[in-house]
Amino acid sequence: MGSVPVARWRMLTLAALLITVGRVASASADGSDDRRALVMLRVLAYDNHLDQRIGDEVRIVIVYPVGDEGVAEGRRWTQAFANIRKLKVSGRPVVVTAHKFETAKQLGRTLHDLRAAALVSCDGLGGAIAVAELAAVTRASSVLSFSTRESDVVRGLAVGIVPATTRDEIVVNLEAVGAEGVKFDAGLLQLARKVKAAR
Amino acid sequence: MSRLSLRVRMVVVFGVLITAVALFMVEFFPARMAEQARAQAELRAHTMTQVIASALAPALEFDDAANASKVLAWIGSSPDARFAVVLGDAGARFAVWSPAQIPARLPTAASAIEGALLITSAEIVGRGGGHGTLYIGQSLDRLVRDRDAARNLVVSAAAVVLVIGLVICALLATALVRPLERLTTTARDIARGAKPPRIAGIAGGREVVEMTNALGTMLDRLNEANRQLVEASRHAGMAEVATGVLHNVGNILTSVNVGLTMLDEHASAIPAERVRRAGELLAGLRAGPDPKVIDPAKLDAGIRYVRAIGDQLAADRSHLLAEIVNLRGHVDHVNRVVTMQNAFARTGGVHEQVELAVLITQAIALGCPDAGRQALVIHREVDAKQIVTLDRHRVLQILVNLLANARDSISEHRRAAGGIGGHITVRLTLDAGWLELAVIDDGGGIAPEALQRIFNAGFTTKATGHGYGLHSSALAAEQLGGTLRCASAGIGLGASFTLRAPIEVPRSDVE
Repeated sequence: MGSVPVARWRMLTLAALLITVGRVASASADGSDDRRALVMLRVLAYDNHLDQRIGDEVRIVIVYPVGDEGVAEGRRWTQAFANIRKLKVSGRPVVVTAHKFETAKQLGRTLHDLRAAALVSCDGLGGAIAVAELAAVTRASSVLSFSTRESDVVRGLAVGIVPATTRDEIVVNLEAVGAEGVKFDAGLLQLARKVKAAR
Repeated sequence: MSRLSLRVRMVVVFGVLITAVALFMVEFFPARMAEQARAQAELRAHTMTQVIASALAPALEFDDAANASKVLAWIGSSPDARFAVVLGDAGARFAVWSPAQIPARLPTAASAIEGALLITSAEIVGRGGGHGTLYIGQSLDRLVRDRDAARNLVVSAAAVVLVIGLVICALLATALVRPLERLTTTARDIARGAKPPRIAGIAGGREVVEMTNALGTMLDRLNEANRQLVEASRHAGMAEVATGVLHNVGNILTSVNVGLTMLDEHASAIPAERVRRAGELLAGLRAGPDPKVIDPAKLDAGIRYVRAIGDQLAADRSHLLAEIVNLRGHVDHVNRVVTMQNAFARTGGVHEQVELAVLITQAIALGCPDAGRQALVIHREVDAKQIVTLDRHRVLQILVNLLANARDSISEHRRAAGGIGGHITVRLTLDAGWLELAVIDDGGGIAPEALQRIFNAGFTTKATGHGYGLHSSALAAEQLGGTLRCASAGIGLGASFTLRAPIEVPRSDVE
């Protein structure tokens, strides 16, 4: 390991930082995270079992992976929710919490302690925990899981807000939705594209 | 209106009422139905808009315009739907169906009628805070058609009700009026003098039957009263004839009494004592020493005396004969009066040619036989040559009554004033087939209030009168076809009675 590797690491880190900053800047610039955050809150509003799953507040936990990129993504999502002016769902205030993923068990305890309504899985989380394992945690905690990747939904998360040609598309894994203790209104299901979990 | 028959009036009144009801039906019910239909249409449209707005909430909230358009397309299943549009928060069109018919300006009210369109709107509020407005436009053509159809139906029904109502009204009016008409006809026949009939079998309501029964009872009583009246009239007629005979005969008997008085005076004046003395005087001529020697002077005196007695007797005989002629005339008049009263009771009098001056003289002789004694001056204003045809004895009866009344009035008035005598004027006027005979006196006169009743039966101003003379005279004047009038300036100012009667003047006199 000489200076080259150090320089290489520095270069890689800088590149990663630039990419991350660029993505953050890009996401913030087109407002797509804001729209997706808004869609997530509205999807929560269409959960007919929401009252049974939460307390006086609607707590949303943003789970990001360890590392700068994960931190940045967690901040980005936190800021997206903060940008929504009327941050309320079904008349309850929305509290957004960023949670650095360490272990599934810890995550499960956090979700339980917060009595969270939803979990937002950051893009980089896939490297830290298998989707199936994450899905097991959300299902055990009756927490609705969100992702921005359709593949996560196919693998076991409940709802995906995924980019489409002209707008974001709502993708729903009905099996996962049911497993997480959520019952969506028919109006929402009419709009959403349903996918089945991969076996 | 008052000249219209009851039937027409009933039909008119009911016709007006039914027409008013029909007009009310035509004006009120279609308008009411249209109003209700419009309200129901608005309610339906509003409900539909609310439901669709609710269905659109997720699409609006998740910005799914395609899905929203799909929902809006459901509206097309309604035949009345014309357009639908969803506006987002900023007023931009989020989804639309049939955009060509969307008006340039959408109303702000939840429901509004713009021309032939009913536009309803509903707010779209999503669970997640999404907000927008849905507008749906529906045609009112079907509503207008339904309203027109309802109006036509009501107008037809009203026309049928009107016609049927008028027919029923006419039938009812006829049924109600017919019994009344029959009763009216019966009453009219009775008024014209027909014998009151028995009334039975007039059908109608309870009131008509009761009225018919009451009228029948009334007619029965009227028949009975009529019969009793005829009987009473017959008795009254007999009494009137008897009274007339007595009255007129009484007048004549006054003259007869006067004539008898004069006969008595003349009979008392017959010189029977002087005849006896003439006999004694003639016997004395032979009672001297020489029965054959008669004193010529005494003989001449005796002869003159006997001649004077003869002249006296001749004069007395003439007076007696004249009085007997008068009495015979009075008796003849009594006979005529009785005959006339019989004729009065049966038929009209006998018309004959009469010299009016003679008639008046006879009347004066009968009515005022003692005019000389009572110092009455009777003026005759009569054309002696007038001969006319009339009911002589009826006119004579009237004149005698008038003259007797004039005489009595003057007598009572003068007696009250402590005097005697008076004036009576009999004035005859002929004018174009009419005779006017006026008897004018300067007696006690008649009070104005008595003038009105002077010809009533039983009314009299005399102390010893019976109130029959003027009444019967007025009736006799009517029998002649004329009138009897009375005039007086008042008490103490005399009176005049004028008989006006038709006459026939002989052709020679006319020419």
